[in-house]
Amino acid sequence: MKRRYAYFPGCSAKGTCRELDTSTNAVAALFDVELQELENPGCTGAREFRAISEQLHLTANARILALAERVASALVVVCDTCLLNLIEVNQRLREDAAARERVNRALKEEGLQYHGKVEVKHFLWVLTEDLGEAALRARIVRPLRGLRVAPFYGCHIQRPASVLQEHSVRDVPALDWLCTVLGAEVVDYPGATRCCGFHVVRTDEKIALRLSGSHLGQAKGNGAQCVVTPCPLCHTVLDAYQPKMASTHAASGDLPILHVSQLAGLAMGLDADALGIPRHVVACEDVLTHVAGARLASSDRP
Amino acid sequence: MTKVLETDVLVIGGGAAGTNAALKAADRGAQVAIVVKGLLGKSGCSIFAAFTPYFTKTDEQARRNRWRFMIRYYNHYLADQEYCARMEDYMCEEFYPDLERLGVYWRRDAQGNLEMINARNRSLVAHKQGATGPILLEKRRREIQRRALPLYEECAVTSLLGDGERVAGATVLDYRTGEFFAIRAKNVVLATGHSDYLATRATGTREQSADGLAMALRAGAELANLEIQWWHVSDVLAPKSWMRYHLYPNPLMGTLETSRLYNSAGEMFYEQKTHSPGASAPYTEQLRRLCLQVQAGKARWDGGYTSGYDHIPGDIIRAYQHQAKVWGKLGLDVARDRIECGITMHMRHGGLNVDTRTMATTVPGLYAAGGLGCHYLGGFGPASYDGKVAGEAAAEDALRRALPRLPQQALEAEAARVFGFLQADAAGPRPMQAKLRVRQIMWDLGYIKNEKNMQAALAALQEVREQSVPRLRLQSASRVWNTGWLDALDTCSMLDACEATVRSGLNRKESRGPFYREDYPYVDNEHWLCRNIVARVDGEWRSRQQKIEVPHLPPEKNREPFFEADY
Amino acid sequence: MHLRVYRFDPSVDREPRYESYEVPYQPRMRIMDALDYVHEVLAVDIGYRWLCGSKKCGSCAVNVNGLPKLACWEPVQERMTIEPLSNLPVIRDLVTSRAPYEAALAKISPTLVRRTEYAGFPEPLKSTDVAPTAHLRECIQCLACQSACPVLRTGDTDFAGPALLVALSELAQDPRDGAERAALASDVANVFKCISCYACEPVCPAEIPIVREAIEPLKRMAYRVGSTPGARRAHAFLDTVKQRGYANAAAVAARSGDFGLGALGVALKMRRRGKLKFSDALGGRATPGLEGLRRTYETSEKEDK
Repeated sequence: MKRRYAYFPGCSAKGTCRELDTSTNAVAALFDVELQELENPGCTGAREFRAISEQLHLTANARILALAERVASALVVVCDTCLLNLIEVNQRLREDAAARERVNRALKEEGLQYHGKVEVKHFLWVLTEDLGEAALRARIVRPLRGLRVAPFYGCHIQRPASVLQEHSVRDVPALDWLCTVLGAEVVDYPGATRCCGFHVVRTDEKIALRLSGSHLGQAKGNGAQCVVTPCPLCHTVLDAYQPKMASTHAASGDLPILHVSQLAGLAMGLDADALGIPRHVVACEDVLTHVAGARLASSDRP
Repeated sequence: MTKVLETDVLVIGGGAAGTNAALKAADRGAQVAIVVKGLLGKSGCSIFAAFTPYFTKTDEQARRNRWRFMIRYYNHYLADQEYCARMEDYMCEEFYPDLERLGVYWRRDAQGNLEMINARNRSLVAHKQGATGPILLEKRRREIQRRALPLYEECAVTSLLGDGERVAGATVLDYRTGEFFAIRAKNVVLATGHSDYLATRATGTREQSADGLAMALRAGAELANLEIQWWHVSDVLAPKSWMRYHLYPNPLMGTLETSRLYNSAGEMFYEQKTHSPGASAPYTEQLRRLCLQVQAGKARWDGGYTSGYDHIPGDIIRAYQHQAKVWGKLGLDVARDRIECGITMHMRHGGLNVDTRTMATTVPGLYAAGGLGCHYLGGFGPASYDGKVAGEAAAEDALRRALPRLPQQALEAEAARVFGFLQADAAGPRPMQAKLRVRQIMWDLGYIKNEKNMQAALAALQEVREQSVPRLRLQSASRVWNTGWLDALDTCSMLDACEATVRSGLNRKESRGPFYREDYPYVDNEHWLCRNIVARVDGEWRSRQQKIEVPHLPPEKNREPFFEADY
Repeated sequence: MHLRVYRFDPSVDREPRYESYEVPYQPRMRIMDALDYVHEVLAVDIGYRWLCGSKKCGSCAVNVNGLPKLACWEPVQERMTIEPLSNLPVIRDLVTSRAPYEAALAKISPTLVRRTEYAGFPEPLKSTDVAPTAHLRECIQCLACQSACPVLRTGDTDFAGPALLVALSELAQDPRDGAERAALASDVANVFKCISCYACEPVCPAEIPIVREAIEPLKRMAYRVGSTPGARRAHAFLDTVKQRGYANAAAVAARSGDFGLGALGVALKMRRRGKLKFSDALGGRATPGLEGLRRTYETSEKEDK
């Protein structure tokens, strides 16, 4: 069954983390999932638009939602911060008729209109919810057996609860679940649900380094061989700034950081280059070596 | 040498009365210091104020209702009626502007009209967590900080110091550090409230151990009508820490409906609009009706009966989100479920005998404001008025006076008493045990009183005083936040206050309001419309009566059976 | 139930220790009931605060199994490690000093500074005028949010923290207030140092949407007056999106005037992996059809002013 989604990669997946876009599309292709990228969508504003103008924040996100409505009934994103912005604005505009009207006035000039008809989801949830365990398992050719993975969720895929609803309170959170299905071993550590500090990394770098340094130190201390994150912003701090943490903070500087789509892609037999893994600042060779040795066992098939 | 600070006016207590006393005394140009046993604006009884009464003089019917409520239902004719008239002026003219100027927002609708609880006695709300008190006190707290009035928090006043003629200051234990110091003052305003934790279940909070009553008693002041002790009936039974959660028996915002009480057979036995339409706080009537249920075996004082709002449409009661949240937190639905209740000792009508024109007590240099007085039950508005009267009178007098001599010997004796408790011994007995025993004695004495059970309570208190207190030993002799040390000091205060209360009860030979003596089961306005006074002078208990004038609203009957009286 | 309680008396103890107590479970029990049991029945002199026992005073918040909780409000758990709130000095055991909070509060002028003279009761004010602060007014200063704030937890910041920002925001959004709240938010409370992690929200017993309703309105005010790096960055971010149709790390950094040498090492590493192009800082591709997007954004921005 073909699944069709509108797709908003966001600025990171089109810029610093282009490998996220590549790997997401590569994994989607395995499942007959069509991700139709929006044209000229603009930006969800990260944490900046909402700190400038509430109306701008609403309109910029409504504009993306309105574009998505033309394409499909669900919009897929690959960034936690984009996810929160879009879900929050969608929720707000569905409830608040006056705000909806203001936004539509602004969109009208471009011939756009927001109706509140799309659901916003993270690509992680497409894997865990829309595709589900059986479909995922059917594609696994190199189970990540024995690979100790530390999930790092990022804030905006779980908080605030008023916006993320059930995603904030799951018994087995999505990323833990996915790691397990892929055959990996989940490393438990307190930093998993904490903040990487991305949104102040350029203005108050030491805070971000301390926070992420401490999370990575814990993950490593608990035996992690790599970290997986659904957010390219977290990825940037955890990966690109990691060498800097190594000199001043708790992290060791050699803990590979993977995107969700990369981890899934590896288990599903995709090539490291095709997944853009060599683009990371922290080398991932050890993970690749571990995965390369993996063979499918009969117990891996349902 | 004990450190001695100096000030014109020392205010003890940080609730509605104490904060206003401090601000008004400072307005008059006096130097002010405030000592609070808890945290100003966060401890004591005032933060429990649910709403504030809205007084107007323009609506004559509303005014008559108000007077009838104040005098008859709220004070059982024991209020000072001239005081009530002055307090009414204050509530009409000053109370709201004073607080609104500081930024308090009383609820309004989208057109800007004040929203009120439109029962027979109207009131306004300015909510924080479902109560009005916290927000009013937060604004006063910040104003006191803005003016940089010296504020000593988490400091227990242990005694009033006198120079033989007048009060000259107080001794203070900063229990955060263990530092003991004295504050020498020209005048002292006591404002320690009317709700103390003296029984197993009480609305009074941890720090409220009746220190104000006890210190005044030890300083020779007269105490009146201590036995007129209110109890809440519809307070949550479990969890125990929620015994202060009150399921309002008076109308809530947005409805004239009120909670109902049901006995163990599910029969409704009380609802305000049916059983006491004239009362805004119908606790005394609830008590009498619960008493009949208890006697019939259909309820206990600690449970076996319930309260709820399930007769009110869910959307109305949910709009009053605070109540709904309490239910929700217990996994209950406010529109469907009822909660088991128990009684909790609440406000005390009586207190220090004061001249209500100045709030001066019978001891020179000592003023009392708010519920600690004996002239009115209390409430955030009246207590604020008292604070103003006391603060202004104390300040004006202080500006004309030199600092009194501080009695060094008494100061050192008090230091010796306080530090005398600081002895550790692994075996105990612990002060907490004595404290719990006192609370148990007062709980056992409970609502239904007679000569015999009051004498028994007196004897039991005496036993704690003589047998336990001298032997109390602490777990550690640390001076830093030593709860055992505080418990020992609290126990002494509680014993004095409880003994005075029981003695006062023995003296009153009638029943009235929340005070029920089954050996005198009638209201007797001929003999007992008075301040029923006790005092302890040189270790001897004295008592006397002081007639209460009823110029504006006299009682209709001289004598009637207690359970038939409508107040 | 098993309680492990943090015990530390700085006047006697060299370091903190934990004491364990067994407490019988009672239906509906709160954390406070368990502490009361230890204090009353076991007669242990643990230092802890409770004043109202009914979620009004905010004095009893403690860390339970690592998360700040209002002891009188939250139910007990089978095993509880109870510790004092983080980010505040310990007086004894579970009691922390509120003095740092009070001192910080004093710096943001926490009283209403009236724009015009008070007009008498009731002053003209509608429920709609104060609607934006409705949730903020429920704050009981329990400081659970300060304890949960990871920025404060680093111990090395001039960020005021969520509780202070709630107090400041309540005044800043009060139509009666005329104080320079934007400058206080920007330069005293350092509102742009909030990392937007929302860790403060799930621990708030008053359920205040702290980020959206307290912090972001302050950021918007601070943005307007702002010369802080956070405000500059927001400005550069928006400019970049308007110019190109998307954000770009190099371009935003360049526009923010963010050329700090400290970040250079990171930038070089990213460049080596093809993650960053220095040429993007000035040049870079613009999305076709940008004109409409820019107009839509600008229309919305104007509507807010």
